[in-house]
Amino acid sequence: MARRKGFAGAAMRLLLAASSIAGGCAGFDPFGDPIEDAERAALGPEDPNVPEGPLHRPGQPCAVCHREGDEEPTFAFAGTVYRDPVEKVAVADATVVLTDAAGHTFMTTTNCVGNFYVEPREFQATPPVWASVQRIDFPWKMESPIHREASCAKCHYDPVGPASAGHLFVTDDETTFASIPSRACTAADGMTR
Amino acid sequence: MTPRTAFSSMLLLFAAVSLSCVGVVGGTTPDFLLSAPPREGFESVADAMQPSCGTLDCHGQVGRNLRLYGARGLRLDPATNSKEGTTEAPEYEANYWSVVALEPELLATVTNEGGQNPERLILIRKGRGTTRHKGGALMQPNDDLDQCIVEWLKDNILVDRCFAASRIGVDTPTP
Repeated sequence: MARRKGFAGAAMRLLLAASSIAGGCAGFDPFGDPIEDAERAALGPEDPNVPEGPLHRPGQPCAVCHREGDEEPTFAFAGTVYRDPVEKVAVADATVVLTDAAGHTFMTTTNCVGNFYVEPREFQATPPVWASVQRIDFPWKMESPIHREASCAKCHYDPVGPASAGHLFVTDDETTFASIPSRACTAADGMTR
Repeated sequence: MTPRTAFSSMLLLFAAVSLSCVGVVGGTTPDFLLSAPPREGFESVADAMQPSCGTLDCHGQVGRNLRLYGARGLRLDPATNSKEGTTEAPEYEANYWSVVALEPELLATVTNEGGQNPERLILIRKGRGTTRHKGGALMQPNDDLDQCIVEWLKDNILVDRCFAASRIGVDTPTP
C-alpha cells in the first residue's frame, strides 16, 4: 500500500513538472491530446518584447491556442495578412471579408502587425466560408473556401509547399507594392484588433 | 514449471493464437469480386470534388481516410505546391482509390445496382449534410457536384456538370 502511494505521488509530481515546462501557449493539460500539445509546443515561447494580446505571434496558427476550452478569447477565424507573396511585410488596415454559405458577411480589419481575428460571438458562420483581403483597389479572393479551420496559418504558411499555399497577401503586382503603406503600432493597436 | 518450459509454452500459445487469427481473416475474405464506378473519366469527378471537399483544411490532409489531392489543395509530389500548377495523373489515381476504398463492399452493391439509392454511401450523405459533417452540407440533390458524383456511380460521367462544380471560386460568383 505504501508503495502504491509512493508511485501515485511520483506520477503526480511528474505531471505537475510536465505542465510547468510546457512550451507554447498556457493551459497545458497533462491529460490532453498529445497532438494538440505538440502543436502548442511547436509555437515556441512568446517574444519578450511583445505583450500577449492582439499584436503577439503574427503569422502563427492562432487557433492552436485560441480555441474552445483553451486560451481566451476563442477565435472563429484569425490570421495575419502580408503585403505580397514573397516579403513578409505586415499590412495594417487591410479589410478581411468573410462570407458564409448562408450569405452572411462579416468584415474586420488587420492591425499594425497584420493580425486579425473574429470571435464566434461576432460571426457564427455556416460553412463553407469564402474569404478575401483588400488593402488597395481590388480584393484578393481565396480560390477555395474555408470548411473547418479557424487559423489561416494552418494552410497558409511558408515556404509554399505540397500542403501550403504560402502566407496571406493582398497583391502580387510589384507595381502596387509602394502604394501599400505600413504603419507603426500605436497604443490603440494593443488594445483592439 | 521451469522458466524454460514456461517460455516454450508461451511460444506455443502465441503460435496457436496466430494461426487461429489467420484462419479468421481467411474466413472473412469476400467470396465475390468488388466492383466500383469507372476509373475512366474520374478526373472530372475529382476536379469537381476539389474545391468543395479537397481543401487543405478538410480532406486535403494526410491522415484523412478520404484524402484528396489536387492543384488547389494537398499535393502528392513534394516538389509541387498548393498555390499553383495543375492536378497530376498520380493525384487523380490516388483520389480514385481513396474514394472507392471508403466503403468498398457497399460501393460495390450500389454500383451493381446501377447507382440506385446512392445515399447509402457515406460519401453522399456527408456531402449532402444528411449525416453529421464538420464541413457542412456541400451539395444538394441535383446540384452540379451532387449530379456529378451520383451519375458517376451510375457509370455516367457528366462532364459539364462536373466542370461547373470544379470552377467554384474560380470563374463562378462566390457568395
